[in-house]
Amino acid sequence: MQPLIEVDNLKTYFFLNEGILKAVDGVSFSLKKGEVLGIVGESGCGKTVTALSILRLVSPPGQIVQGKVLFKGTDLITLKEEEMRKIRGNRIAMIFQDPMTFLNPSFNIVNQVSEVILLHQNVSKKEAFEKGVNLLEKVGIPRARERAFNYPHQLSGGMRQRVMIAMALSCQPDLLLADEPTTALDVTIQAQILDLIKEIQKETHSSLILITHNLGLVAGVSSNYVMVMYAGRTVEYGRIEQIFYHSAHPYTFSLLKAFPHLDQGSKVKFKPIKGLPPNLINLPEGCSFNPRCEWARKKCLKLAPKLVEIFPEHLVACHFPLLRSRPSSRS
Amino acid sequence: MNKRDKNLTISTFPTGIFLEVWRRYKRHKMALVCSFILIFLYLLMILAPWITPNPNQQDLSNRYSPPSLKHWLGTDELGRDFLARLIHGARVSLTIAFTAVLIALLFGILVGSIAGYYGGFIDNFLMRFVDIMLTLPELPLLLILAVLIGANFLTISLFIAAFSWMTVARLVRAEFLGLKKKEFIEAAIALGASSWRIIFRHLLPNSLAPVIVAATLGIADAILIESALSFLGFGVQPPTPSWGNMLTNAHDFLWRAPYLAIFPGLFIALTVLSFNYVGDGLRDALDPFLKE
Repeated sequence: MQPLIEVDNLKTYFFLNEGILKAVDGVSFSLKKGEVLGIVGESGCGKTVTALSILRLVSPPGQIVQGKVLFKGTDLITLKEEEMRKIRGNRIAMIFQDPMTFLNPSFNIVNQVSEVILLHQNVSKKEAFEKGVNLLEKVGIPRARERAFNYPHQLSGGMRQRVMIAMALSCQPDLLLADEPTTALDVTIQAQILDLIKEIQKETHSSLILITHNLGLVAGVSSNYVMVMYAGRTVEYGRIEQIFYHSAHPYTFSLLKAFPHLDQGSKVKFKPIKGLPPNLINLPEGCSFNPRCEWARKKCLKLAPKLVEIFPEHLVACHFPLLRSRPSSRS
Repeated sequence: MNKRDKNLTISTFPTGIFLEVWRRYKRHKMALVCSFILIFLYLLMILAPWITPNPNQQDLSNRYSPPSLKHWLGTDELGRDFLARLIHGARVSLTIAFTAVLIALLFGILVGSIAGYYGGFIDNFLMRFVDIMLTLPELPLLLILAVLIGANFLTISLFIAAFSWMTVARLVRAEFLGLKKKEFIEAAIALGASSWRIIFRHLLPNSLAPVIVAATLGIADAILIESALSFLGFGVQPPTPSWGNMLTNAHDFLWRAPYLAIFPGLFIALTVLSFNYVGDGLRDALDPFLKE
């Protein structure tokens, strides 16, 4: 099967006064229809910029300097702006992080949804309205027909996130980009929203790229693949079981260690990763993770590792991958 | 339940926002009172030909008569009914003010949104032009224009508009600068909206609150400018009454018939005040960020 989207050596740099910030530095992945990819990493590792680059929404001083984004065979990077507009929201839709600020405060919620429908489909206002109400119902807004006339400020955070999801779904996109869709919500609502995304993704058989710093979420939506990013680069990529149980990159391993595991009881301390994420303008020489890596050796200080396939469908960028490591959580 | 469903048919869809605004506007008592004053004034203006005597009908035997039952606000130096002249004057003054503000709004919004949305060189160019316009002395230039081009209803409106669009342009630009960095604009782009659609559907409605306030204040201003122009004799020419030229007249008879100055002044003050309060009420009602 031909992949739905194929990102090849994508590089997005920000040209700042202080120097060139390599937010995304050579990221590649591909995703088939109906599959789920989780992109994981700390803040500022280039997850969001990757998603924005796919939609070509990076604004100056940011610029996509190299790479291809093949969506159903067409390269989005070289597409004309008008053509690109027809894809945004229509074939590729994004669910944003913070439903408090990503909704237009002067539109009522059904208007927000029908606006997208009107943009991309040749329907009358009435039809768009009806579709909007149906979508609101579908994403679980109770009494949608009445609530349709509410404004964003009259809704709770979870409800607003549902509206955002309805907006993203309005044109039945082939690819959903969910950029930390649950970060701004409290934990109980997080689970609901996650279930909703999962359910809808299954139902419409669309692909999903879930961007998060929470490895638990990636497992939660039963992703097929996980990509771990660090300082703008992919450090590990593979099927989810492999990443969770046979993580080969020290960073992934440490990330998993840094999480509390419910099944281990309160005695086991989780171990934070020492140090801070590197300054993207001034990356350390060699492997960019070397200042924080427990296993760093001389070679790591000099030579940046390449992404190599150590097992089928399991790629790691490390000179000394932790091949035999088994996170103790698997008990 | 049935009743509620009935109220929620599609027909309420486009009016939702107006109902919402009206609901909030009602709470502003002063604005409500003032809007009734203005509505009353407009009714008077519209019905003027049927409810008042001819404002230019002279009655030389009955000059300077103080307010009485026959002439509620008395008569002027030619024995014309003063109330009739005031109401007809309102027609002229308010229509000019409205037209002027409308033109100023259209132009100001256009310039402001282009400057605010595109930024960079275009923004710089347009805003420096606005700065230049703001440094020009308004009244002397209006007088010169009135003399050179001639004063009639349309030219006066245009002149006033030419000197009042800058505030609107600046306001809209400032709002746009703040709003275009907002996440929901990013979301709109991500959903595939075009530049014009973003300007008119997403940015403009969100920046309208201060613009509407500015417009209502602008009407008040325009009334004052028109009055000033007419007062100086360069605006609306007698015998057509306008509040300004009625004041000019009154100025000659200030001791003999002070009410000739007081009533137009009072009308101007009341109208200007009412517009200010209405603007205030609208600002509160329109602010989409206002929490319940």
